[in-house]
Amino acid sequence: MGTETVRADPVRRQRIAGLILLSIITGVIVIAATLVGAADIPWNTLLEDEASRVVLLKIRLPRVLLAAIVGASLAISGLTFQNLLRNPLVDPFILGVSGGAACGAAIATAFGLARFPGVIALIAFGGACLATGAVFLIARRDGRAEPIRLILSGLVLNSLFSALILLSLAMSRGSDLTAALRWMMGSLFGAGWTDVLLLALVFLAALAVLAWHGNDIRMLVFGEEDARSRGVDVARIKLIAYLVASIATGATVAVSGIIGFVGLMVPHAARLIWRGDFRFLLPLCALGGAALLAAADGFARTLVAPQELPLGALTALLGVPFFLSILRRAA
Amino acid sequence: MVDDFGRPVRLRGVPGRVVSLAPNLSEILVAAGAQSKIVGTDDFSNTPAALETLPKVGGVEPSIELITQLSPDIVFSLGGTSHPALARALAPAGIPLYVFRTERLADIPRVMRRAGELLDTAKTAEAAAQRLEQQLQQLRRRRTKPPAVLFAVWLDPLFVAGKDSFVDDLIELSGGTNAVTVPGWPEYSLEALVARPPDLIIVAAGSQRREQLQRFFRQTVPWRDLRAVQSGFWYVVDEDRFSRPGPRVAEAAADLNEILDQWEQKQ
Repeated sequence: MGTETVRADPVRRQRIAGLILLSIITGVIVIAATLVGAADIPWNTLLEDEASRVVLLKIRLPRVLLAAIVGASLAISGLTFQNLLRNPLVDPFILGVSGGAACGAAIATAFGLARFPGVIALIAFGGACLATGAVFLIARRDGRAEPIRLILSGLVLNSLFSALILLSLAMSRGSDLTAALRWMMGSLFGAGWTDVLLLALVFLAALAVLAWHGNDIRMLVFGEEDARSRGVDVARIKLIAYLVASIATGATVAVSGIIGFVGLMVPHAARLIWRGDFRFLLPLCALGGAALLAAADGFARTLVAPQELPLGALTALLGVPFFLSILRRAA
Repeated sequence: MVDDFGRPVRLRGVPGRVVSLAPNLSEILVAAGAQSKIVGTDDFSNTPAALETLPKVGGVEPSIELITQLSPDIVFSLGGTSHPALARALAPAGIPLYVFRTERLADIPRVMRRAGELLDTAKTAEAAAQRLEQQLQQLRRRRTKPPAVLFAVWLDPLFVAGKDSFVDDLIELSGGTNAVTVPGWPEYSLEALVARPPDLIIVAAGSQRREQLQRFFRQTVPWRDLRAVQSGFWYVVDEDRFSRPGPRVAEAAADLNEILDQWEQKQ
């Protein structure tokens, strides 16, 4: 496609405008979220105030960025799963990723490993990978995994994991409970630059791979037979896309626990506003997810400071009215 | 140096500024002579009253931003109730975290002494620890027939003080035995309650009024059929004293002695 057609195509121009607009909104939200917090930053005397500089640069900024990256990762994973499974009701946790990660973390907590947070994140990530692998093995028949079998296997395994989590929480002594529950409700407490860098790497790699195969993934929406007839190596593309989306989701769960709504609703919102196919929705979802979670975490940190509110609840509280309004307009 | 859970803690000199993240730890620090070093606490540290005016930094997930702005040399928290990611969260600001264990009665004077060593108030701390140990020793009772005591922290669902808790130690100190044989603070089976009925029941009051409890015990199966309830051997104690393993456990032990004495006289 030459530059002539780009300029001539109104749909395309609208999409580029949408991308730019959403980038600006996301940028503004990230900056605004960095300006607010439990601590008052004395901006005039920041250069002399060592403690406030540490608050801003080592505590608040990494947290805001981590929120944005977690949101972006969950949104693109959700979009990918909805495409692959051809089902609008699935979220990134559908294939047992959340249950596996939470189960790993809860069991690690029950065994008293809670005081090594790095270990917990690692075990959570391992649990997520194991769970997704198990779901695939269960769902496979004759070398193929039908979407409906995948979804059902994921649901059943998630139920098993919830049961194991409840058991390990009941057995863990005393008030380890609060912390473990908090983790399962999703929280960015204690986010540092290491988390940001690690998750950013995973996210950028996932985004690159999904964008690279965007055209093939887009064609899976029309059904596997159809995609195959258009020359798509369906088995390979599905494996790559599932793997990438699962790893991205597992990595977010490992650093922030389970945060709902973003992965389910951001792809829908993007589709309702701009329509368009997978390749175009991918960057939109990344930006939308980042904006939603950075804003939600900003409110979670400040509304009743110094207490923090559960991030998952704030995400839904912010997202639901917005989503309902665009749903009504689209209808 | 390692804390009560074996985690390494690195200190630069004697800490002059301390943030305490648990009400009982704050009380212990004050008893250990370190009140002037406390620059901030969790939302619930209210004893002694002077602590109420200090900056509050939150609860289970305290605000790392506020803690950092207080520039403490060390943060004290409690194993079990503190957030698992707390140490990691404080690391970027270079603030060391010391996690104490105060599960058993004997932990209280031990933590008092340890805090004194850490904060260079060892003399005051040692005196306070000895005074507490003496008080507890004087409150120790032996009873000819030790009553089985059920200590309920919540009635519906039933949560109780189990073995190896400081309340369990207090019951034993007062010459009773714990009716519960499982460890920790478990949710407890009503069948087990009926199968091994306690001689007396103690309820940590919280927000419930005496009349509400009266109605609950009179109307609810299986409580209303327990001999302890029918004979009126159920007692209400101050929740704070029995939920904060700190210097005020001596008051808790005295309360418990009074209750067990009353019960004994009515036998």
